[in-house]
Amino acid sequence: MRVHVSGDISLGDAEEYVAKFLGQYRGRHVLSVVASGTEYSAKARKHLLAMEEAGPHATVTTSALVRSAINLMTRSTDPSRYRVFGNEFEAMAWLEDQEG
Amino acid sequence: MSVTIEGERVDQLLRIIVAAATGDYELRVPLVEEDDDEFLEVELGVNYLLEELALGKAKSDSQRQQLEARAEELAHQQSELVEALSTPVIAVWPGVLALPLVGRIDDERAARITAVLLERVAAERATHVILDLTGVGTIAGNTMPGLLRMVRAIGLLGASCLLTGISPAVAQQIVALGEVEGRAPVRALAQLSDALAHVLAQKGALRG
Repeated sequence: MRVHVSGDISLGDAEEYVAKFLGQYRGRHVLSVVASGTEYSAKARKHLLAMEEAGPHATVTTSALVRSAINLMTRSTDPSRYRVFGNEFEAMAWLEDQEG
Repeated sequence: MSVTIEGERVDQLLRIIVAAATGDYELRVPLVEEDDDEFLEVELGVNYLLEELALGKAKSDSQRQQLEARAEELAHQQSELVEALSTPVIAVWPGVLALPLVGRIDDERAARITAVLLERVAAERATHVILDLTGVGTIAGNTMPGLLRMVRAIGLLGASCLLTGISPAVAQQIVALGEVEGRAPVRALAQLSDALAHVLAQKGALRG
């Protein structure tokens, strides 16, 4: 699955995201491309912690701020399930190595 | 891991932490995309923490306001209940009012009792008022004259006042005041039932 994320992410957005990847797309490999300037609300950040139970998740961003935000959110998650990359090529390579 | 940080960024972060320590959670660490290092995560993490603290404070303030409003509402209800219970005037028979008093009677309460009772006596053209003092523990020292004046006022409205359930302490207070206040038209009986029987006998005699 390939997802594009941008803008201000609210709790509603986070709920929809989690519902999809813990529901119909559960276990799928996810490539999430997050645009520069994307911001997560406090409630969204907390809700996204539930993504720990989803399939392997590779986030691609060129923004240092977005990378820092995602690193903070995923600091306590299993590093084999979630990783941030600077380009899609590395992200895809990592995803292919992951078990579903 | 070794990271070199500009002193200004550290100073800025510390200023914001110190402000937060005094309860100001509104400031945020300014974040610059170009500061692409490990310290950026620390700065962003502090901002997230401040955001949580601000949310927690807003929630706590809102709950405190709700509690204060509820406390005020309960105090108002309690005050209304106490007001109603402090002067429970009951019409026990046509023309006969009974007022069982409970607790301590001070000037303020005596004034309230007087106002309520006189209004009821006039409104119901009462012929008899029974003041039951069984539940009265204490009457404030300077309140007894006020109660005795009320008894006289009831008399002026054409009703007879009977006192029941007088405790030894209250009896001594009344006697002590006797010389000062002169004779009050007070008839005392042991119990409320005695007073009621007395009144009904009088009414029966009047009808007969």
